[in-house]
Amino acid sequence: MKLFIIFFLTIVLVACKEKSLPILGHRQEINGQTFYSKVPTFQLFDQDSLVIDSNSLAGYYHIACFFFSSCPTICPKVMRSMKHLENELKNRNDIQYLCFSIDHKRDSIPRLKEYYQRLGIESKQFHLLHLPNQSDVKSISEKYMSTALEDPDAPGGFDHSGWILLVDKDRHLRAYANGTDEQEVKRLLKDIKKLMNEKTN
Amino acid sequence: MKKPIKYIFILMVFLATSCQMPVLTYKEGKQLYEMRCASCHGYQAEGFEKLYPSLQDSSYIVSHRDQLPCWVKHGIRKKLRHGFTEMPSNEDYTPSDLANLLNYINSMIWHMKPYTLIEIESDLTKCSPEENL
Repeated sequence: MKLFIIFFLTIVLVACKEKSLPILGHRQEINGQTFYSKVPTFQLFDQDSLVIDSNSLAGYYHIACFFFSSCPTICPKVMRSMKHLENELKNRNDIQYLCFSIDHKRDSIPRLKEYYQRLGIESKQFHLLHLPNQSDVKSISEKYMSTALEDPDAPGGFDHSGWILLVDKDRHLRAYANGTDEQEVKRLLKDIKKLMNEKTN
Repeated sequence: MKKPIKYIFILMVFLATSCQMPVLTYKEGKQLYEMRCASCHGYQAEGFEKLYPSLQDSSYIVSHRDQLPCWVKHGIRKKLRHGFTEMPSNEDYTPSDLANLLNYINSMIWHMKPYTLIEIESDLTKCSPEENL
């Protein structure tokens, strides 16, 4: 009987061991090896005219979002969620927050700077990024699995998803949440902590 | 034994429904608020940092009471005390929508005398264009 209980508990413990976060996005099998798509490298200015590129992100996880400053519906909620995540993770020094503005026409760097100041962020790792043209908006947002299209019928003039995305140190997408949904954001926070505590990553 | 229970039951139903009444009156205003206003101004009208103002400063609201219908309907272009961007307009709101919306927020926070439809209609005739979009 005792043996059975020990055996049973072992099975349960092994089965219940938490799996690591999957790598999301497109993948290819080449010669028996799997290659996962990565988010693109880029060189962009943030609200302080600092260049953010692959060097600035080396060794960091990052959390990404897409927004525009005059957004009336989705973005305020997404920004609240981003602030919440930043607050919950403020004791970590290996994570950056990147919010890409999809309104290259109106969201100039001075405008992003004003938005940033009013957002009341304290962390130096939080960047609002200026995308210089429409093709950059399209190519970058696509790689982050996010829609960002000009649409005169949409509120604010842009049709965009409100995803918040988690990217690991190898530029792989690992988790995401609908930034307007509190429950999803709570779940994403758990995923972020799980990833960051994984020994192999 | 059954009679007193019946009376108690009727009394409880009466109390339950009568206590519901004030909340139900502003159900439409609540829906309007949550659909258009809450994402920036917050579900408790608490605002968000220095980007979107809180609506909780009752003294400011009271002193601008007759401008509120114009501001909500036509939006605000000029900067008020603080606020990052223009407030979008809600041109499709009828005077009745404005009354419901403002009275909902009023019941939540400001506790002024509720707006009447006549008052809102009168206020809307005095909107000054340079303030609006």
